[in-house]
Amino acid sequence: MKKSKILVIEDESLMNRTMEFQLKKDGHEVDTAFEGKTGVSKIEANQYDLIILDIMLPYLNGLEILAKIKQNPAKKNIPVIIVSATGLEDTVLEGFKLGANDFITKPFILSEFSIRIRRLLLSN
Amino acid sequence: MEKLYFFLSGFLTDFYENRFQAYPQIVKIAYAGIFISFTVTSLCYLLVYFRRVNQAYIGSKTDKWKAEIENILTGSVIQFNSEDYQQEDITEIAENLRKLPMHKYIVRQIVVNELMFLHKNFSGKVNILISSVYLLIGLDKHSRRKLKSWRWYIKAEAIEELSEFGIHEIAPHFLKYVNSKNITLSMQAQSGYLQASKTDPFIFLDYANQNLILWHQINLMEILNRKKDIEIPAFSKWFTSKNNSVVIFCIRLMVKFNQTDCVKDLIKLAHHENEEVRKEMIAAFGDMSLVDYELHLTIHFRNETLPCKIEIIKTIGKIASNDELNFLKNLLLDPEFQIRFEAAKAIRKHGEKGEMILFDLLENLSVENRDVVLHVLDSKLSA
Repeated sequence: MKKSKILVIEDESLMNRTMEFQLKKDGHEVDTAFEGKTGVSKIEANQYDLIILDIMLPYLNGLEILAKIKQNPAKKNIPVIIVSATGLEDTVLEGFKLGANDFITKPFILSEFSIRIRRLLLSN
Repeated sequence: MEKLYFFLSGFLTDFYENRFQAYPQIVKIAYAGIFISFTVTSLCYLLVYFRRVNQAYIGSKTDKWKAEIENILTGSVIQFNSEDYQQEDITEIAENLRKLPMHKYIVRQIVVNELMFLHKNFSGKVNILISSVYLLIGLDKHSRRKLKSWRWYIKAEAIEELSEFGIHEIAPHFLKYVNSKNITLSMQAQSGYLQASKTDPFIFLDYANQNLILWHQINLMEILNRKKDIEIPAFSKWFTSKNNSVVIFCIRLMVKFNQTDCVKDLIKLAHHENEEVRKEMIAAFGDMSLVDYELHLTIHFRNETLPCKIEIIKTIGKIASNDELNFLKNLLLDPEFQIRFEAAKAIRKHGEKGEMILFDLLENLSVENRDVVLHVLDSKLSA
């Protein structure tokens, strides 16, 4: 599998770094953002193969970012995985309605996270 | 500097001896007031300033240690995630953390916070690894010491830490704070006990004499969802509790775990003095789809208060067994608007048969009731 470029948008630094470490270990190129606005500008300026989004973010929440991605014709095909502590049915459904490709609820197993990313990248 | 000192002391002496003494009493008091106010305000400003400087210093130190601790932990978590880690690996992480100045309270607390964050957000092997590291460094002693603090928020933090890392034997100590006057500490003690206790995690319900607010009930349910290997008791045991919020919470738990064996005890709550308890009891019949008890509800209806009557109608609509459609039809003639409205909605919930009844009734209803039925039948509203 070729090296994929992944963007992680997560405000909790330890979480963000752990995912970054894991993805780098899996052989991906990783970019990170700690809040919504930076995340959106990075998405607009770069071409990513996959985006990992938290829901509770400062300035712009994950669902708002997802809506922006899906409204942009040049970016709408980028697969998006939502990683969130909230497993609320409404939030999960809202995420999928907006076009998320997968939803991971915290706490999660890191190896499962890697497999889901790999599977999504292969299918795209 | 010396000149300034002489000038000021000369000015003040001259002011005091030649002018101040000559002033009337009222002016002297006013001067004294101004002087005291000025001094107190200046001291307050100084205090705020020093506190802010201190906070900024602690903040910068915290950020520095946090970054260093994150580096150690992130590397370790990833390193051992895909491999079967050994005791030596845990020892290695512990040794790396021990290189930090762990004698400092702030450093120990940051390590605990970071370990707790990882413990909450990752499951599987990482979760066990983190708990082992916490114990090996002896951070449980740090949390136990905090439990003895006189500050309520330190105690609450200690309970959260000890319960998160599953220190079971300390759980009985949390019971002391279950009815604390401080609501946050009391909620933390209850959550902590439920999370940490191995033998009887629900025993805190025997002691809780404060209102279990809805937010706290959701938190307790969340802990239950995450807790593995837990023996679920029959929640009807607490239906006789003097704390009405405990009774309501236990009805909700009974529904969550579908404890049909407790239904006989649930019916007894029909005569409970508290309206909220009776409402919850009625709602439970609908949530558990207890078709056989629909008739009980209709018999009970006449003696109930308006909110409970409405709950009964909603429950019959939820169960929708078709057996009580006549009961609902009669309610369309009730003088109370809310009852007529909810009855029409409940009939509609019976599907096609309910819709047919409402259409048939349309011709014989009063103008007001016809509007209610037409509103309920509006597909745009029920969609």
